[in-house]
Amino acid sequence: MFELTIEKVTKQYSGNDYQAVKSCDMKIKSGDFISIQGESGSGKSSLLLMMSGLLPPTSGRVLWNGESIYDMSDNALSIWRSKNVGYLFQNVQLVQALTVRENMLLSRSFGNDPTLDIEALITLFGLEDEANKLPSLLSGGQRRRAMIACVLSRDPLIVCADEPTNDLDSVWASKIMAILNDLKKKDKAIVLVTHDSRWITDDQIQYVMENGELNQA
Amino acid sequence: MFNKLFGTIALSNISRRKQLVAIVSICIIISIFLFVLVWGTLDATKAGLKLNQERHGADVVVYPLESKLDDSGILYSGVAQSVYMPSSILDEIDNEYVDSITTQYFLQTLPGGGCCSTELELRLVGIDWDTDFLVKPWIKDKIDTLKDGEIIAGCNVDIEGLVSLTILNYPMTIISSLEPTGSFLDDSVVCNIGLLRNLAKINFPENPDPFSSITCAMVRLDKNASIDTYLDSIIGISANVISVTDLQIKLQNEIGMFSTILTLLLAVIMILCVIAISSQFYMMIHMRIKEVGYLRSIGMTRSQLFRMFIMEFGLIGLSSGFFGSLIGMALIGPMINWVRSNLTMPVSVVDIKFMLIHLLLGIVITLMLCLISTIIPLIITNRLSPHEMITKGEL
Ligand SMILES: Nc1ncnc2c1ncn2[C@@H]1O[C@H](COP(=O)(O)OP(=O)(O)OP(=O)(O)O)[C@@H](O)[C@H]1O
Ligand SMILES: [Mg+2]
Repeated sequence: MFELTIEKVTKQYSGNDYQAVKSCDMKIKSGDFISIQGESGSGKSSLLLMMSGLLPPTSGRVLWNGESIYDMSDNALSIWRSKNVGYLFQNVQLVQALTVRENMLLSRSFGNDPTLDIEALITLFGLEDEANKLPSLLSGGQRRRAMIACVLSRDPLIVCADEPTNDLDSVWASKIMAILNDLKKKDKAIVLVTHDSRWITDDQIQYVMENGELNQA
Repeated sequence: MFNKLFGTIALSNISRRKQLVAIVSICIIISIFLFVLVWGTLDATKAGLKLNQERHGADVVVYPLESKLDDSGILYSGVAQSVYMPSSILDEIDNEYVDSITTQYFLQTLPGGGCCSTELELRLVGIDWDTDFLVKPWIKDKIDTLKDGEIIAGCNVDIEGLVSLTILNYPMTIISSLEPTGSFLDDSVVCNIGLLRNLAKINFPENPDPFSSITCAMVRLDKNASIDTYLDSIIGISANVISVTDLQIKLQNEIGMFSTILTLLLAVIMILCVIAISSQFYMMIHMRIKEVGYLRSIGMTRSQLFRMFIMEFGLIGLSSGFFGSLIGMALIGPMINWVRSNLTMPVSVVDIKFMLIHLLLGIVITLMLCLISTIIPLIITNRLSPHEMITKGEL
């Protein structure tokens, strides 16, 4: 069981005269499926990045079981990220020099379960023919599936998904959403950012973001 | 797993960025090459002088006025010369301050003259075995006497593998060799003075009568005598006189100055090199800043990041540093010969141990160079959060 608390988190990027995220509060517990909706530029990605330990907030705290993550040493924060947060970036990120399988192996070596079945994940994401290819040789949709597979190779406690269905056809988009939904059963937490209301369901804890302000729907 | 994947990443990035890698390699090769060459030559010169100070048996050397070489040339250069002075000079230089005097007679073989079984130009040094105190301390084997036809080879004389050879139509046997002396003896073949005079009479009839001439006289002073007093007492003789100690001190000062200037120069080269290489490495990191951000986001620590890049940059650095060291090594020999003959400094011999030490030195310097050049750009890069790295790389 775990709890991630976001406390009055604010972000003002340097050079901007406005706050991208304004004093947001949120609680994430194991088994939660949280969705954040909002217009483009409303601050969804910024908030998600801050709660994942990837972007220090201008003010406010992010607490992991009561401990402020941005007060940890850089080393401790890195390890915290590797074990706890799987971040699905809005734009696909992979190591260009490694094949899809190698990317997954690298990812797994940072994660919670060194024996996790990589081949099962490859099959789950339909990447059998792409596993030995470099990311640059893949289509957009294949790359996105590869990135999701890499994140799940770490078996993180929280998955932060920023528009995970981008680049995907509707069949794969539904499949991915189903995979994310299944994580709930394993006591993981999912934070989904989307502007596509198709993926919003009633069993989710729904938030809406507007001009940097976060409100529960 | 980790290290294997790091290795794959390193190799792939090296092969993807051949041009950048080539520029960095050339930088490293040149600086390490210069480093090894200059450092090695300085070391050889210093060692040569030290050797010479420790065991140069003579306090004063007397040589003909006609000699074209200067003082240090006489002592250290090994340049061929066949000038003589009458033996009567010995009466003038022998007085109450002298402990012992030994004389030497030099002869030059003609390269390719058909007189010798070696094509090398040899400097033959005839010594008076009974009075000699200059050559004896350097002989490797224990020898009681030096008979006619027996020779001892200086350490640089390239007659390895030969046991007997013909010099000036006379059959000679190599009975021993000399340890490195840092002086002209390194390039000389030593034999009995009587035999050499005979050979001179037969082969060089135009020379002054060899039996009443000498090339140089080495004087060892009494323990209580001061060199200055002795030099005063022989003022006005018709020969050049060198005080070995004075010359050594003069050379030591010269070498000291050289070494300071060269060390400063090397330091400047190294600093420039660190700047050049670290900015190249900075570029190589920043071409992949997005990837670095991604790796940080999946939990890579700063030290793991350092390990990943040092693997890549170390590979580039080590291979070019090794190459640079090798070129430096290859050129130390010619460089030292040049120093010996043009700057007339004593130079110790370059052996395998010397080579290996300087090769190793080159590699150690390369490693330090790469380490510093990797740490600096990484410190700059690590100030960014993973998200900043990714956005920086995407735009
Ligand atoms: N690196 C940055 N530097 C400066 N301003 C930024 C940066 N990233 C985002 N912003 C600004 O912060 C605000 C929120 O951006 P954010 O990316 O969080 O929005 P978003 O809700 O994720 O939008 P989208 O749905 O288009 O992805 C925007 O006004 C944007 O201009
Ligand atoms: Mg966004």
